[in-house]
Amino acid sequence: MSITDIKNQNSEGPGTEASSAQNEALLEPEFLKKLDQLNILSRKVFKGRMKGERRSKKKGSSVEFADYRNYIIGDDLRYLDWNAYARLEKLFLKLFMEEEDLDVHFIVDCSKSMSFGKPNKLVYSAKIAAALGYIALSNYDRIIISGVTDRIRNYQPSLRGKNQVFSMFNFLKGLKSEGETNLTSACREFVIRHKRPGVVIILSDFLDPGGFEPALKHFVARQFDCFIMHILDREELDPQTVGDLRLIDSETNTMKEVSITEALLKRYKATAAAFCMEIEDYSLKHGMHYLRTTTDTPFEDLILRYLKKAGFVV
Amino acid sequence: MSFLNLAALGLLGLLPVIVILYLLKLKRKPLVISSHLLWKKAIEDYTANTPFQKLRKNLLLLIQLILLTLLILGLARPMIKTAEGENKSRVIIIDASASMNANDTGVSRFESAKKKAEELIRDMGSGDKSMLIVSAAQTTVRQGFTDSKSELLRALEKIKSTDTSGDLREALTLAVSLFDENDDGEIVIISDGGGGDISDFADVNYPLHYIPVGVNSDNVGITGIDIRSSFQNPDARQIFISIENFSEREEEITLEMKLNNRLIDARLLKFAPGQRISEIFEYSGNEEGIIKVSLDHYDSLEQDNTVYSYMTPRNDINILLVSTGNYFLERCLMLDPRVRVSKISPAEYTARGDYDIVVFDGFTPDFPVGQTPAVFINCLPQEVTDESRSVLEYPTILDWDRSHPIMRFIDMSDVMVAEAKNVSLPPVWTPIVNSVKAPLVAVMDGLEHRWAYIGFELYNSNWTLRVSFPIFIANAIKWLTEPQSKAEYTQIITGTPIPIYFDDETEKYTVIDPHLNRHEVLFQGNPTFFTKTDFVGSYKIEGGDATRTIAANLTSERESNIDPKPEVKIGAASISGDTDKIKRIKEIWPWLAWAALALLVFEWYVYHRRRFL
Repeated sequence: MSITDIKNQNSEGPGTEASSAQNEALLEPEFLKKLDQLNILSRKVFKGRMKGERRSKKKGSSVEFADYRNYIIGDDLRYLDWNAYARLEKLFLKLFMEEEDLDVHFIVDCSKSMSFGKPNKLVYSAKIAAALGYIALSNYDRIIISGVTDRIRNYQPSLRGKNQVFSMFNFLKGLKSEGETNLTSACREFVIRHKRPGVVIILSDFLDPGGFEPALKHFVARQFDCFIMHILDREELDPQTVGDLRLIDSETNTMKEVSITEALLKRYKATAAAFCMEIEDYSLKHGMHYLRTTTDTPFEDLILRYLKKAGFVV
Repeated sequence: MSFLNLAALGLLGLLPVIVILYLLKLKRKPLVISSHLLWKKAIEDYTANTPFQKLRKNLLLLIQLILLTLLILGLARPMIKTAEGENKSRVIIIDASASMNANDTGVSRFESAKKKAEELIRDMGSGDKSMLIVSAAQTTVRQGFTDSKSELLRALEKIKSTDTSGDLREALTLAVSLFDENDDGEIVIISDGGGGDISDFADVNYPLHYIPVGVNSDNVGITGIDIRSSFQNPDARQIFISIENFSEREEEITLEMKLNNRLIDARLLKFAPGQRISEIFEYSGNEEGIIKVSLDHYDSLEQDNTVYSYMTPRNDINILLVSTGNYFLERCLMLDPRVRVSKISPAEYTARGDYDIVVFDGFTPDFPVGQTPAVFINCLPQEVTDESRSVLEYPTILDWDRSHPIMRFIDMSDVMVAEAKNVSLPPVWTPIVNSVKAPLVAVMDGLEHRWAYIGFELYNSNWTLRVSFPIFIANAIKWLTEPQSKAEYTQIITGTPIPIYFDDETEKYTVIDPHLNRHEVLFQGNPTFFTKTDFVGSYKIEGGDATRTIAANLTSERESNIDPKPEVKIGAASISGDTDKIKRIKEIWPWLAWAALALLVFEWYVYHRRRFL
């Protein structure tokens, strides 16, 4: 029996669902209405290209005070700080924050491992990306979506404005899980392509043989505001199967014979927990937002409660 | 430690088979998962942190290999020596006498004895050898010294019990004589202890062991039978029966007498524990046939519940009395109604052979008496010379042979003799009544005739006035005429050889034993002895112009008393039954079997708890 046959026959395990998100409606209209009130919270202030609803590093003509500078002949006299002159007998000009748009990048892990879960991790990720993307578009943020495996396999260039929502939905629904995971290489390609830092929302299971650190380092170095959505299936965290099994890796098709005992299960769960904790620690250490979820978490609760709690949205 | 079944160790070749089967891949269920990443890490951690992981993985294999090894070792029958000494020579004496047929333990004592002998044979260590001797009326070596257990077991299988009296003395003597000088020997006796008194046996230089068999003494047996003419009724025969209750409880038993399987008489007898009763049946008819007297009773020993004899037609006995006159002698001779006495004076005597018995009263003829049975009273046959011609004055009677038929029921303690011949008789004569210097009464049981000798003048004693004298005369008449008549009632004790006399025309005889087996007896001298008389019943001898029937009975008080002895006295030593001292080896396969069972339980535990290891 070939591995393909086994994969086809294996009706109990993960990965039997269609790797494509095409067969599901991503978000219900009633849910979209609830998202209108939300905004993606970025702790960092980025230099945007256009005027958006977001603080920018650029100093412009908004109402929020930013800084002082010495008066130069020709400056607008309305922005002179007379209180400072009275104290210091010197002329200082007030500077104000300029509000600009934000690049919100979605990096969606489309490797084969994301085809597992009930519901499918890729489908779940696409829905999260759709929800957050909707929020961003509603707030005139720019969204760019990259479907990655060992490279950027699917790319949606920037979309802006609510009228682009359905383009986003269509793109997300067209994502398929295939290929092996190599986040490091994919993220390197990403940062080369996108030099302007912004918000990066990474939706992945992080089951990368190469590790997560080299991948995330790229974002730390480029000062992206990272949101890590660690998405796993419940079975991956808490497997129940015991016995003499031949485990087949869905990405590499390698086989590993293992006799799973209760003790080994216990050890596995500890390993999985440590794995998640490691990513979380790294994230927190490097100022990244981290949220771990399983695909059996009700989606609305995730978006409306957990993401708020985690500081992803406000 | 060594092994009794070394060939079984060849099964150790199965061990690699188990390993090969184990190495064959387990059927594993395939399961597609998202990634090996976490499993790999978990397994590495698990392997690093769990001690003896490889051993645990192969624990079931190890258990199964040990289990198979234990079973194979058990089949190889390992044993350890429990007794000292190598190359032991052991003589096993099995008592096959009548009392060993008692079935007081569910199986007969003899079968129990054979079982114990079998255990001894299987207990032999390497280098040991054993011999089998059977003790009954005759002692026989059934298997000479051999270290082959199979040979010994085959010989043991063929040994059968008998209905005869046993003689352990003869068996011991034979056993002692069969050891070589350098043998590290020992003798084991398996018996119920009824093999006779051997307390005067010379000290044996080899260790003696005794294995007792039997548990109780429940038996009532017939210990004697005799048929003789009735003194009160000349036309009748009396059958004397002696019965004894050897058990410890009262018994009520019917005694039956049958002639040719037709019931003649029956009596209801009551016995107290240990009581002996004598009964007399009287038969007035003249029918010839087999007399069978039996106890209608079931007890541990059947062989003594029935006795046989043969009733012959009444024939007159012609006795010639050569005497100058002896009133008491004449009267005693005529007591037996079958007897016809002819009296002549010594001067009238000629050697006429047409009398059944000739009684010489103080007169020795000048010519040989011939083959006629004779009684010599105060005289000797011509063949015996009395050179000294001396006499004994008032010889004291020291002892008499109570077992001889001529002395049955006779007590000589009140007999006094004033003067007797001081004659040294030839060895062919057997003294029956002894004084200090010379026999007073002797018999000669020759090949062709029997003679009796009384060494004193009857009037020189008070014997004729004693009740023992007419009994002696009656016994003498019976004994002297027994071997001569072809159609006569005859009985023997089981185990006694039957003499068969061949005439010129007969080349062979056929003996039919009580089990209806036919035995051919060919001429080997006159008489030729038929020795296979081990069983109670009638033996029919066919051949020549007549058929004889001889009854063989147990009638042994010693054998009927089946009370088992917990120890036997041999010489000065009392040997008690202690089988542990005899054991040479101890087989340890039971321990291996228990260990294998415990391991099997552990394997079950490991298999089912495997998930938790």
